[in-house]
Amino acid sequence: MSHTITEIGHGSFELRLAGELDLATADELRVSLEETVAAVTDKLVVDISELSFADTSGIALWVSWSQRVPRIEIRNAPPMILRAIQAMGLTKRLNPS
Amino acid sequence: MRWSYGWVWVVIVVGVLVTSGLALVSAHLASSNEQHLLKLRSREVASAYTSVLPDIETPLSGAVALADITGADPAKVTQFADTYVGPPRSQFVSMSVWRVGHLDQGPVVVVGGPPELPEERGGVLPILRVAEHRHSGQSMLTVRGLLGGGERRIAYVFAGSRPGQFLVEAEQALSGSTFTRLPASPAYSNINVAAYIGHRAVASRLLASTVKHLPLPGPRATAVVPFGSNAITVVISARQPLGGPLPEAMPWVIAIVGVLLTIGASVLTFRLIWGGSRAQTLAAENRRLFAEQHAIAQSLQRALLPDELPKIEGLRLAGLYDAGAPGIDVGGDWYDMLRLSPRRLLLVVGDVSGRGIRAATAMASVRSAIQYAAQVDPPEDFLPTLSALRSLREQGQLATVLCVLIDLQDMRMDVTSAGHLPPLLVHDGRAEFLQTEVGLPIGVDTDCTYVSSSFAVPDGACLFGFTDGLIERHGESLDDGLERLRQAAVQASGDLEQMMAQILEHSRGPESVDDTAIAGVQWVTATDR
Repeated sequence: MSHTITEIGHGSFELRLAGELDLATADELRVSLEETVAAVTDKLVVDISELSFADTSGIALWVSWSQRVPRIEIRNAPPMILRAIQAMGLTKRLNPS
Repeated sequence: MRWSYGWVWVVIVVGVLVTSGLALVSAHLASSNEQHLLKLRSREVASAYTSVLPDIETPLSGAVALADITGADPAKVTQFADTYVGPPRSQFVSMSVWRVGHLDQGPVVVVGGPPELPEERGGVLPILRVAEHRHSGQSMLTVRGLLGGGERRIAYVFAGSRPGQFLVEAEQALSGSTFTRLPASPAYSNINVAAYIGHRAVASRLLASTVKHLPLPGPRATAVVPFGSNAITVVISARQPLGGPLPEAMPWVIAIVGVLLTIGASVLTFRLIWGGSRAQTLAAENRRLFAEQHAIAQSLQRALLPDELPKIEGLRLAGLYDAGAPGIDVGGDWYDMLRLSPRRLLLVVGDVSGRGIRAATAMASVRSAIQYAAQVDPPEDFLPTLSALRSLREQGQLATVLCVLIDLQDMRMDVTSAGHLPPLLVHDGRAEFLQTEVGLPIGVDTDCTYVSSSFAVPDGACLFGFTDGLIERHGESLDDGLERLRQAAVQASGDLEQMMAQILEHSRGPESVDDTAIAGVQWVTATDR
């Protein structure tokens, strides 16, 4: 699990995730991105094109971010993760593409 | 194998034994090599001593030849001998000519000082008699060691090879002190030398020594070489190791390195054993704690699941919870069956994200909130309020919930999904997922709406609500998992509990560690009733 953060505009950040997002890595990510998420005043873009796996814990993490930022967009979601987001009824919430 | 600190002692003992063994062997090799070199050098030195023999023999043989020719003419003999006796050469202090067969009459001619003749033997040196009785045809130089006079002398007697009438005796003076400095020659470098006349190293026959006080210090080697009829015994010892400093230092180097290696190996062994036993203790403690935790978690999970399902005429109900792979503790999956009224039954299947006690306690609060709220409102009304549950919001968790409200009279059911996978309806050898609008999971937002969909229940149908642990496999799409479940459900046979066991077996991934909950309802056909 690795991540990079880029500021893409005023109050907007792009977060790129790579590797596997499960219960353990989601907890680590939650802690290490605490300040970044707090700094988002506009939009948080999460690029998960290099994420090979994400379970419910990972999706729950994105949902918890969505509760704290004005808008979240999950970009370049692999089909399997996209399908899981749909199955959980979170499409409108996480704005995946 | 049990770790024991006894191994440290084994390492120390082995290390000391090996080190001392190697050091001893090395010391022995160095010493025997040194002894060998010393022996070689003693022979070299001894041969240097014998190299003076021709210088002594030549004047003596000349004098004998002259005496034989001239009948021991004193003038001629004296003229010849003067070259060797007295200055400038001063090779001999005395030279005398003796007539064979008439030794008792004393010397015929004497050049230089008088010969030192022992009174007790009739004034004749024993070596003169030895030379007198030599085998003819053979020249002979007899040598007498230190004479007993005031001055230290060596006496030589020469008899020519042809049987002649005369013998010549010459005496050579040695310096008053036996202490001498050796000539600067490679043969003498680094060694102490003591030379004796005769076959043994006897103090009274010491010719010269490079040390003031005998015996020579350190290991010695002795060489005995012929010197005329007599012999010279050379004893030498080394001032510095002849083989160089390295062979001598080698045993010490080996001992020091060996001791250091032994110390290092014992420390390493100690640390390995210490670390090993500590790791064992920790592992045992961890196993104990883990087993304890696992047992607590299991009983907690069982306590959280309904221990008795309602008994309803015309329906068979079954619930199943599987904790996943061994060693996995509690999860957030649950199922529930609530008899809301004589006519209504609510089947609930849910999944709180995460694992462990945290997920289980959140699950418990969601479950009991549903148990309470369902008494009052239908699912689409109470589900939005559940998102306000603090136990979910504070920990960033979410829960997916499936509610199936079954109307026992009308044979209908209303399905409401809060982010949950659809239920599977099995009837007449077919299986299908009941697709409904999927609302947000619980815990995401309090401002959300849920829509329930109504379905008619075919007679004799089975309905299964389940959590994603039943279908999820790493690296596989959700739809593949759902399809596998659908086929497993079509092929399942037997009563409701047997069907659920088969579905679990065939659908769930063999390597899955996720927990799984399944709730099943079977409408019993009129003929079965």
